[in-house]
Amino acid sequence: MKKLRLVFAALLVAVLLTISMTSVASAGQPSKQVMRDITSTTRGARWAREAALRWQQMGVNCGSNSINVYKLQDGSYFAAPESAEISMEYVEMEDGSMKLEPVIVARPDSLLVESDSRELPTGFQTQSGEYWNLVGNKAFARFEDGHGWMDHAYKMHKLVGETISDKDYYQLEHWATAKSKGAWTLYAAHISCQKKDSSSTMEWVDWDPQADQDYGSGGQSVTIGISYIVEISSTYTVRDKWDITKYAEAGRFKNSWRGSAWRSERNVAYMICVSVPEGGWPVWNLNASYTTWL
Amino acid sequence: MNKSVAQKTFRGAALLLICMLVMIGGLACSDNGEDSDEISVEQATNLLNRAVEYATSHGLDKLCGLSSSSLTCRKQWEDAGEWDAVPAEPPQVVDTYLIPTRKLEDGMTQRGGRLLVVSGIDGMGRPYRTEMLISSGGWLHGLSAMNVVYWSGASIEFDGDVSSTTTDDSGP
Repeated sequence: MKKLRLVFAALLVAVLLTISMTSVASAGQPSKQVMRDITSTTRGARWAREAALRWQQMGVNCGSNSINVYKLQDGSYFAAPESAEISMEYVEMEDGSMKLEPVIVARPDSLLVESDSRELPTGFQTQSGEYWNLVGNKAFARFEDGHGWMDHAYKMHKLVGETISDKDYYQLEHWATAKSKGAWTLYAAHISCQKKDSSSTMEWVDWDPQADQDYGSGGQSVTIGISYIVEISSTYTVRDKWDITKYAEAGRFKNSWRGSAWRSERNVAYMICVSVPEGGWPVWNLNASYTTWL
Repeated sequence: MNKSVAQKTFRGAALLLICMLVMIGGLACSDNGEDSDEISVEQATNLLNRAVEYATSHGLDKLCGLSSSSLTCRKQWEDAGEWDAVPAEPPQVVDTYLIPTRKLEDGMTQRGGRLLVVSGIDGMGRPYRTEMLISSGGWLHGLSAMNVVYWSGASIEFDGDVSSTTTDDSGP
């Protein structure tokens, strides 16, 4: 077991170094690197998730929440476990030149046995290799009248690699953009979902937003996401209010944008996660509408 | 007496002018995309070529300026992997056809246009197949595209009532 750990550790360090060198080599830029921690940014979170997935495929288990992501001065990225000790050292590149690069000099002992730190329901087990696999990515043609228009779309992911034997997990992200025309003002934009009769039975797992929110007229960058076993999230620019309704009926959810916008686009979105019996397939009715006034 | 009549006449004229401006503004900006049914393959591919040019030069404002929705464009660009995922090679147009504009049962209009089905490999080595709809935004706006982020992999649903629809029911 100890040998196996050492092999994994060596593999991980090698992979990290290779990734770093490859990205820097392709950028072919300055010899002096300065690292900026971007872990808390949207891009950082995405890179952390991708790094976790990549490492999982190599047999190294490290939750994305335990990975720090740095941006180097030349625009390349460096991902490392948060507890790893990083040093800037001169490294010989493939072309023989020496460059100052971030290098992991100490491996945290916890790295190879680390699993996702989120608390799971009793009876659930975690295992390396879980990820959200895209199973649906569709936009609906624009619908409009003389007063405004609305586009809505959805993405659906299935959780792959989980060990729960009698359930499958699906994420649904549904979003829309609406805008008024001419002299009309957009006052509301609604999107909602509800289990279709022909769908497999659903059970609630998670949803976001979890409460109504007033984002003000200036606009904010808002990230919504599901944190079940593996995190999945998406970011929107939101203004005014989001008014959510979460129904007891599994898979039924609604978000309404409310405000006042004259010929300016507005976003409304939500993300939910449900379980279905193993081998099942969730199907939702999706609705979208908007309200305009003079 | 004369002053009162003049005031009334002035108010009436002002009201009429305001109504006319509102009507003209409404007509000018309430295009429902009827012109979209006549977009040629050449017009559509011209827009696609501009999208490729802006994407490869990392001009997000210009790229999303071609989109029928700026906010949707930016979200698709983020979701698709931002500039890291921009394909090195232009996409291949594998299919194209016209989607007619049509009236929906709820009184809304579903915008049609020229659909381009494009495919290729994105900047992260992933294959993509995206449906891009080029439609007319009216004489004030010219042509614009839905799914202008051509490496996003998004398809477009036209069937049924798009404002009240369903997720894919074809199963896993």
